[in-house]
Amino acid sequence: MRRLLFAALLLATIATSLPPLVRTARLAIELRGLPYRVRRERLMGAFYPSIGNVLRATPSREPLALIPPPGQSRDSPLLFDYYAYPRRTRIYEPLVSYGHDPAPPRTVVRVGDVASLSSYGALRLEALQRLGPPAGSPPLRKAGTHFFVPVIASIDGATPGLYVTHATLASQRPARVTMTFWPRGIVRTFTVERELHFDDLVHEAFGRIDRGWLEVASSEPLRASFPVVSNGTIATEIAIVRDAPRNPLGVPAGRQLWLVNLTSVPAGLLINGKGDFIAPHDTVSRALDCPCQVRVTGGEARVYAFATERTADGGTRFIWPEAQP
Amino acid sequence: MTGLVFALVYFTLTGIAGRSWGERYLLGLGLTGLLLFVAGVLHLPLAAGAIVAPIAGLALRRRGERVRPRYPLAATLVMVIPVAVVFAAAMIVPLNDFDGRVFWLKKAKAIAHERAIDGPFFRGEVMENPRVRYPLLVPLDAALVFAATGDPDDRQTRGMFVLAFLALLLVLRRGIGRRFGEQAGAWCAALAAWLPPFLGSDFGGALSAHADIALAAFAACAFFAIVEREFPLRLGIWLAAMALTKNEGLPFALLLLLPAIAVYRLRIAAALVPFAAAVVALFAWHSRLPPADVDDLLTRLPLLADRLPRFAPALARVASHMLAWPMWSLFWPAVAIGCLAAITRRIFLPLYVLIGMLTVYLATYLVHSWPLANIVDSSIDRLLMHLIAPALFVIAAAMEPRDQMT
Repeated sequence: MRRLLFAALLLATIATSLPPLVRTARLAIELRGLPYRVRRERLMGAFYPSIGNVLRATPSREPLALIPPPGQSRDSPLLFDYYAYPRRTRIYEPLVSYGHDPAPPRTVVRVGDVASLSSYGALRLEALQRLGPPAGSPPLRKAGTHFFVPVIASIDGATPGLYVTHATLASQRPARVTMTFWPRGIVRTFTVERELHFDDLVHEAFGRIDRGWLEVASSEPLRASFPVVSNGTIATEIAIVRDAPRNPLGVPAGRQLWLVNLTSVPAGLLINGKGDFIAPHDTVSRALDCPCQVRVTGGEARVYAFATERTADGGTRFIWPEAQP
Repeated sequence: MTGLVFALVYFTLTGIAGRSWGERYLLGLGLTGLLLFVAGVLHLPLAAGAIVAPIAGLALRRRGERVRPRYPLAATLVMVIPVAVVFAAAMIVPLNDFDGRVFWLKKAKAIAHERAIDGPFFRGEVMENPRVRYPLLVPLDAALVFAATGDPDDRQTRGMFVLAFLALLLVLRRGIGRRFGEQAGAWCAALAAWLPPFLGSDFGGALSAHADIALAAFAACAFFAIVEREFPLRLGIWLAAMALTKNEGLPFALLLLLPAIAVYRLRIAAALVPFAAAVVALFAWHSRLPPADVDDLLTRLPLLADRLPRFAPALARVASHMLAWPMWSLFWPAVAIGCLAAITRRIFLPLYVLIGMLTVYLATYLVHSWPLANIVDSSIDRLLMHLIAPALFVIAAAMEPRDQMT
């Protein structure tokens, strides 16, 4: 009786193991005779050869920044490491941890289902596009043929934050649009057929992860909007400045005062009666509790001012200026 | 193939003091890993450890029994069939399990490259080293294979893992056979050979590069050493190997130490020498490493009282895995019946080990920071593999006719 019971146990165990064992044997038969590299490719797909491609395309002493695509874990980068050893690598997950690293490896490798050379900006854009268009986009406002946007940015906030400026430009007729990113002075020209959209204006149009302000000149009147988007949700809408701001400017509230010199000449200022200065096309900030009055002293400079303050939920509120009598 | 030949020859020769090939191979794995680890902690050349290990193995040799058990051919064939399939698959199919590559063999590659166990890789200066504090016995043995073959490709170590599986089966056969007869030993080993977790390419199986089969094997050797009241020094080496193979190896070794003290009394001192050396070296090595990237379970033990409500769900989840047909078939119900038989036969050591280690596992699950389902599902089947020796022991006890009880 005992032997029968044991035999039943053994047969039940064999019955359980036999199908996967047969599959294992079939796999071995299928792979035998193939070069070992090909066997690995059969098991790992395109991932395995893509590792070799990246390693051969980069100098052996070059450290690599391994970044998984948005929504994927660090498993693929860890597996990349295994085959790349002893290559120096660093895994950045979440994405913005790369932006926060003061000295990251210059070479960025996107490591998902396959590994490929990429750039931080491209991966940021991928992350933004994956978030999809933010709900509640602001309406397009009349912007005319020449206007300023006092702040645009593509920056990395606190992990996992991505802060970018979306941009939508629309025209009833095809328009040739010249955009200048200040204070860098980077100029780009685009054609707006009916509508032109950027998920990350600063990076897509100017190739930078940076902050500044925008000057737009168009052959046709435009309608536009420039919302700041934080992790896929609209944080705020940035003002479109069509007319030269009248002097003085009053900013009614805020904790941080921002000043934008819209001209190519230096600007002497009085801020709440105290002297200050801003270089041509530059943008500066001052930690001041507003209300603030900003007066440009002498010269042809035109300065725009606005303020920001932190909200209770950790966001940023923008306070735009009011014309002073 | 070179790695297979090297592993077979080197570890077998180093473990020459073993009484069977299986025991020799495992003694070679354990002694080599232990000496390489101690050499690494002392910043001695690892090559020195690799040279000393066979010499130390030879010094352990004793004149003794030359009994050659005769096992039933049918049982041997049943045992060999899955081993042969797994062996062929290991020689042909590349390693494809995530944990084995990323958590275990990456360390082996680093050891072979840097010739150190606390070099730049282990300090996090080269690349990420997940599970930084995993014990290094298996990676050290694998690193030796890499170094000896001059090829850090994991294909060189495939044979090492399959040979460990075969060695485990042979040790089980011998250990159970010495207590319950060759028939019982052979058929229990045949049963173990067909258990799905041991045959898998993941979850610690012979086609993976996990350290679970090695721990199961060292634990089996230690278990049988206590049962047979063997030389205590050899027991000490098994306990040391357990502590240096996996994190759960140390509590497992301590659990076995208690009945060993009862068995050996003052002679236990000989076992404590290698065991203590391993534990001291382990903690010394930990102190040089960056903080662990996973829970430090010792520091979380005070949470145990507050986490008691997790006990019933944890027990239920563990039991569901033990009863999962695709993984364990009827094995654990058979073990449960075997435990009842062992009680009636007053065979308490395997019960103590089974209940003791299941308690350790459950306590771990109670205090772990992961969600309960995740931590149980990702680990319990591998942890149950470690208990194969006492589990088969009680099954063999249940199979023994009462009139033949010794």
